[in-house]
Amino acid sequence: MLTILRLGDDAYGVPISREIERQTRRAVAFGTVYATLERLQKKGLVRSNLGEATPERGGRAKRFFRVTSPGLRAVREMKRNLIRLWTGLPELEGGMA
Amino acid sequence: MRSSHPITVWLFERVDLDVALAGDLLEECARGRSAFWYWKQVLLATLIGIWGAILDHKVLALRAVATGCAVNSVWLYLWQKFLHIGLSFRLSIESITTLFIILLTQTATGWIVARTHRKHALPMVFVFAIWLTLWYPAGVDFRYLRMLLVDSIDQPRFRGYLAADIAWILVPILAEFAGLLIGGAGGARSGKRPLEPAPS
Repeated sequence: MLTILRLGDDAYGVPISREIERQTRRAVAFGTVYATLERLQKKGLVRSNLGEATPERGGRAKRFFRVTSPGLRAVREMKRNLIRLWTGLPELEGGMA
Repeated sequence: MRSSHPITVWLFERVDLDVALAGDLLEECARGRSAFWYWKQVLLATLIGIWGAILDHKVLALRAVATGCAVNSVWLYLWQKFLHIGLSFRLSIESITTLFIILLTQTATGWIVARTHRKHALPMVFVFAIWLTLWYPAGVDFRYLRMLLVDSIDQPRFRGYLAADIAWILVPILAEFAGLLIGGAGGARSGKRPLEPAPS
């Protein structure tokens, strides 16, 4: 969902996968990305719509994703929870392993 | 990869995957990804799609296994009643006929399972194929194989027989698996998603 927010209006399968690969420095399977997005969509956290079909994609349309208001709330809540869990841990202060 | 695209779309539609993914894969290939990468992504996406469908529809998966077992029971009954042939440890007309009948009956079983589980046909056929594969060793006599395995440790001349025996054990289950998938693919209908309007 953070990647979708980061990409804005250009959030479809290819840029989402590339951005995740760039940020995590790990190869991702497109199928995994789509499966995750579908789950998020079922939960109402993201929504999608189809763009126009292009010849370079074999006549297949791009599916653009957007984070919904409940999705945005979930991201904020997740951030708060992570900060709460992160604070007060002396082992993690200063960036030393 | 453009020539493989229709196959990918056909496959994705049958495992209820978003065909936009097929377009994404093609777009990536146009930017220099290899054919190996393309087919790896197709395979992974298909397996994820099948696995997701099974997890989301566990009862349906059980029903598919029950349906497949029921159909195969009928085949087994008919085989025992009317056919008096079987697989022997050598290549013969009888063995080839047996394998052909296995392929044919399992194609029919796959087709029936697919037609009785139309919404998730291929994943349900896959569940039954896995079930059958897991049960297969129970019906195999491993005594001869064990003997060959022990003998081939210190006597290399037995290794050829060992390889042939392993192949001979695997061929029927491969025929079953292939038959089920062929029948399943034939009986599965595309699960095309409704198109949504383009973004304004």
